[in-house]
Amino acid sequence: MKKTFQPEKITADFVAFRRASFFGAIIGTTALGTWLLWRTFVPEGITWLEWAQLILFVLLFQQIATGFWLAMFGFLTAICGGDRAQIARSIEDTDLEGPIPPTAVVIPIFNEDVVRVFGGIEAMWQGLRDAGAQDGFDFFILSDSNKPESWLHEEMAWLELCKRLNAFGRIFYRKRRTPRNGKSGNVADFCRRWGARYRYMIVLDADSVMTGQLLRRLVAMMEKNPRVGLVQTTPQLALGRTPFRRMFQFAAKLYAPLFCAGSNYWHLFGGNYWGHNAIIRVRPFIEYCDLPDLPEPDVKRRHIFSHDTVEAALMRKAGYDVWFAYAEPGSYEEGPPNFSDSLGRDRRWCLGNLQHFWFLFAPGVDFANRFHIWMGVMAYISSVLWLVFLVLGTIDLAVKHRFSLLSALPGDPIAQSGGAIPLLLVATLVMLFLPKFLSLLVSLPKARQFGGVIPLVAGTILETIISTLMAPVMMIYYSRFVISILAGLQVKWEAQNRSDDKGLGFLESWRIFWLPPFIATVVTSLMFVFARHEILLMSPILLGWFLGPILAWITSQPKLGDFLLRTRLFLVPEEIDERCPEELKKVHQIIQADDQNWKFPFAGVARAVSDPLANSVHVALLRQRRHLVEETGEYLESLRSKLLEAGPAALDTRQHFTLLWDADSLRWLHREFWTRPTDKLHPWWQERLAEATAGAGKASAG
Amino acid sequence: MDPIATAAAWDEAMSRLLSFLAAMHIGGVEHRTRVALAMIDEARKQHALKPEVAPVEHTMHIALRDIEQWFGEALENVEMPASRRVAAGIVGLRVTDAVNRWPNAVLDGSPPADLKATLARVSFRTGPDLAVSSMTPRAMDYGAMETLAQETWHRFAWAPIVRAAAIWTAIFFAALYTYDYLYPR
Repeated sequence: MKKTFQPEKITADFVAFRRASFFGAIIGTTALGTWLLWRTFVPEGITWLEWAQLILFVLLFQQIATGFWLAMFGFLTAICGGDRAQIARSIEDTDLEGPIPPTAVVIPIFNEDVVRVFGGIEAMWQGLRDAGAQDGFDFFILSDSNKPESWLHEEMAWLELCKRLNAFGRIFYRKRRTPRNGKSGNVADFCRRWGARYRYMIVLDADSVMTGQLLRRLVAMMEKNPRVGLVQTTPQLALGRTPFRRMFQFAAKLYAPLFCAGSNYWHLFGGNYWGHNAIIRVRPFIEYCDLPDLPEPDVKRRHIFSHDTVEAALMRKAGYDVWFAYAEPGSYEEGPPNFSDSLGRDRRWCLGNLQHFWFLFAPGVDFANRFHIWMGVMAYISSVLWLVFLVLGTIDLAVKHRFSLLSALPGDPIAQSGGAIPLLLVATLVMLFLPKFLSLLVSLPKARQFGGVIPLVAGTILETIISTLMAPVMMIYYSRFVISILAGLQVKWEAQNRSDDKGLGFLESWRIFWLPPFIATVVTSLMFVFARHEILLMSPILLGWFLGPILAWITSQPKLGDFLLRTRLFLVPEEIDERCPEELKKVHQIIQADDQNWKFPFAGVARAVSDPLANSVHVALLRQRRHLVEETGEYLESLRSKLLEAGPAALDTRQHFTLLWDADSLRWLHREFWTRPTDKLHPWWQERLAEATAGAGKASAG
Repeated sequence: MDPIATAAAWDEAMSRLLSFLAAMHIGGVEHRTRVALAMIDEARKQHALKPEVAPVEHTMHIALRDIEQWFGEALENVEMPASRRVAAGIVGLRVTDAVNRWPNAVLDGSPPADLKATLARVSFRTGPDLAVSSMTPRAMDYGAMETLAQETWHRFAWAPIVRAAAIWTAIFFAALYTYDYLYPR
């Protein structure tokens, strides 16, 4: 009989061995790489330029070494039959029986694709029903949407969903009046209102989908291990159509298992939280994990944008374990559809991760969390460091080359280094590409799931080429983000364009990505004059910069994505019908049926006023105003008259919201819209009336 | 009044009323037409008394009045402000599929008792009963970095920093070049 894993029996020796082996490998590799670089400098004596390069190299090479050893330890555990210290191995089949403790599935949303969000919820609800686990779970859709049409559409979608699933009283929808502190504020608001009713909450993103089986298993893991405060799953990318999304979901499917296994190897109970697709023990979360303010002087910037890593650190600080159920199938999310959207998301993450710097030296933060924070900060800072390193390195090589020509000495720095430079170059390339090769090796036995051996190998090669070309472009933009954030510019939480039915236009792509080719042109020209011999060395980076806009354009084209799917390139198991979970199939079906009724300008206010059902749903969900001061009453009166007589374009979004939050105003508008003679309505409202009449005609005919 | 204009005005009133009732989903075409005709009859009587008011206004005011009365009666056993009853009633009809179960009931006489009971059971809320918790951030000690930041930033200005950085950079490079000049490799 297979022995289950007992997290509470992990010994200090066990933890120490794992961390010593992992960090020892990183330190050793970094030291070796630094020594090799140092050797290349030594023959001529180290200059200040070389010292600067050495310092930067230590920081940058440790990052490469960390990635490499994550994959290596992941590979080692994979060939040994998987890590025995996995939280998922702490439960048995019998733990999945019996009643489910109250668990809330919490989905904060912000101007999302409503059809997709509610489709995901429906799929999960049915998944839970199929898993026989529906009883313990309540769903909460927590909206911070700041577009009237999103708000109204969400309400109607919620009504129809609850009606269809007979889930009133089990699936709830709440719109916050004051969306304070973004997503973390929204979740905290839920905790304050209803958290005490639930033992666990599963936090999802708007585009998350989790299978009913996995939701049930997560609860069982928490029930079995009372010391565990949070279990994070690995959300796999799914449902992509554009080449960009399909390539990244392929890469994540292929490479993530080794990196995630390696991550679990060293941190064990000191895992990280990624903000969604995770289960949380509610009581300690309420008690210990409300986000503190940052000690920054500017009040506008005091709130923590990227809450997840900090919440994991606070949970650990409070004495609870944070585990990573990395190998559990059934956890999905969607990636950005194109390079531009991906960078938009990175811009927000960059701000969040840089803010975490404050926690790096805070007393009481667990070592593992400090390392997560360090990796998060380095994910973006490293771009600036790489850029500086490249500039210094190129100048250094050019200077050396000139000196060698002037002194008429055998001036090839590579030859002078005694083979250290080629060795370092090869070592770096191995460290960058070996994890990909090992991931491919591990996946070969299940190549059929990736479309066969040839598509799998071809996909890996193509992905490696494209991601290598994209990396220098990302370096430029990440550097720009870091610099702009450090200069104090705000980064807002904006909805992603999760629809991938429309690619970037060619000119649009150039408009967005003009900077890399511009830099490439300047750098190439300068190098042609001052450092002609180093152009070849820099060519992969220069080529990436030159091709940036074209890559962004090509990889955003949905039709090319469809073609790649037909050729089975970048195929992931979820794209094969028999391997796709029912929940994902359901979401895929739902997103095909787009609701066009909400796509015209001011659709939200139009429906709230003209549609008796939408008006009633909206009014029924609003809180009854207790009293109204005279000035407010007069203001509301002026706004609603203006809305009907001058049309919705005469009001700004804030004024639309003022009316939408007032039940009396909506009742009045609804009444006036239907009772006024047509010629007394603004032409825009006359159009709405004509539509309503046409709609009624169709209904009668039907 | 021009008889053609009057006929057009009544057509508009009828069309508007039928559109409204259809948008409310209160029953089939036959039921809606029957309800609408009754309302139009009453509107004609009122229009005879107040011809300055347009037929559409008379008709729709009567429709909204009847709806208010009907839902007021349908939800009389439910504790809620009178102003919210219509909204709650329309939502209730939709949620419970009452129109399919009682296809001719809405706006046609008093609501049947079982329909009233069905509407009263509708739970239409943004969440379960509140169970309020206090969630407040604990004081966070950020250690030496915070101390450093506070000491630095309480009286912070960019200009002196930039000037100082420029001076020190100049000194640094000057020193390096001097060194290189004095001790050439």
